[in-house]
Amino acid sequence: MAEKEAAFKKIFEANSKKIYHLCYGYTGDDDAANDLLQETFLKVWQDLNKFRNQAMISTWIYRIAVNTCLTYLRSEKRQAKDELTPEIAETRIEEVSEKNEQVALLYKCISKLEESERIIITMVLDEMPYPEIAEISGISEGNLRVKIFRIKQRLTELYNQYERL
Amino acid sequence: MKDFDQLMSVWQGQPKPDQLSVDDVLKQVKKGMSGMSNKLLWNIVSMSVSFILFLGAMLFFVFKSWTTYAGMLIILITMILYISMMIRDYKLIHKRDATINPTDYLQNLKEYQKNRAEVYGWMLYIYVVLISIGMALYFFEVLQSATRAFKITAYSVTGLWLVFCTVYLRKRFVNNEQEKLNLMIDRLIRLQSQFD
Repeated sequence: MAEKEAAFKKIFEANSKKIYHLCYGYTGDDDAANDLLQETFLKVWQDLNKFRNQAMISTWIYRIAVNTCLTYLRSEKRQAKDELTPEIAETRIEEVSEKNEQVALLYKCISKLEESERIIITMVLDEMPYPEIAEISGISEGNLRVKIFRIKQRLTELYNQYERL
Repeated sequence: MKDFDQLMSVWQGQPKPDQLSVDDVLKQVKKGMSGMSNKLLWNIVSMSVSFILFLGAMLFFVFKSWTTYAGMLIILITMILYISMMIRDYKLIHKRDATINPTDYLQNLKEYQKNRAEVYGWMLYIYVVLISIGMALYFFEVLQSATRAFKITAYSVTGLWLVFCTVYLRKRFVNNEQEKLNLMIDRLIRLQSQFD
């Protein structure tokens, strides 16, 4: 048990920041991102013994996080009323403005993308290698490259458009 | 005017988030269970306790008429059905493998949701019919020595309660559930197409 705990702590410290970014990019909400982060690591803890190094552990954790984010829409109280709409993102932007305006603007632009695009772009921004992103998202590498190219373009356009305002 | 590489440096330079500490997370994961399965587990436990109490009553109280035993047996069977449905759902929630790729994962979720919708649609009718038969048979002996007025009141109140549950509550429950399921299935279809 102590070994498992030590391994878990190491894994958490190495991956939690990026997983938080992914969750925050998906939800645009600090509390929800922390909930999803916690839920992801709950699944990591439960399945830790099953992990047989079939992939890099970070890839494995990312996949759990992506699926946890997708299941986020399951909860009834979040449905419809708490979906990340640009309006909600706008309000949240005010809350985080003191943190870092540019980062807040970037998150606002991410919120305008489709769900799968939000997930993919946060991995790209964290400089994850393309083959790894392809494996996590279950998309062929060729297809992914095309998608990433489009998402990058769209995100840059959105950012520059909002920055001018 | 910024290009994507500049956006990347903005992203990477973002301040450290107010994140949960590893000890808090560890404490939470050791507790296990998410809220959803916890609630379901609690329902399973409370229904099982009711089942044991009812079974105890059937075994340790002596009734004269076979109708009482038949009624209690039907109620117990209904409880077993209900408990087994909840256990099945509980297993389904736990069985979903979050480590598979998102397309397969969404497909699993979709099947699970449809399955739930179907089962809870007709399951509630069966539940109400069985409970009504069970209660009617049970009351037959239990209310034998009661006054006519009490009998009428007991049957009417039980009957009205069951009608209220079947007509009003069931409709509300099913509509509510269907609305949520439809919304979720729509979103799942949309999400799945994003990963194609």
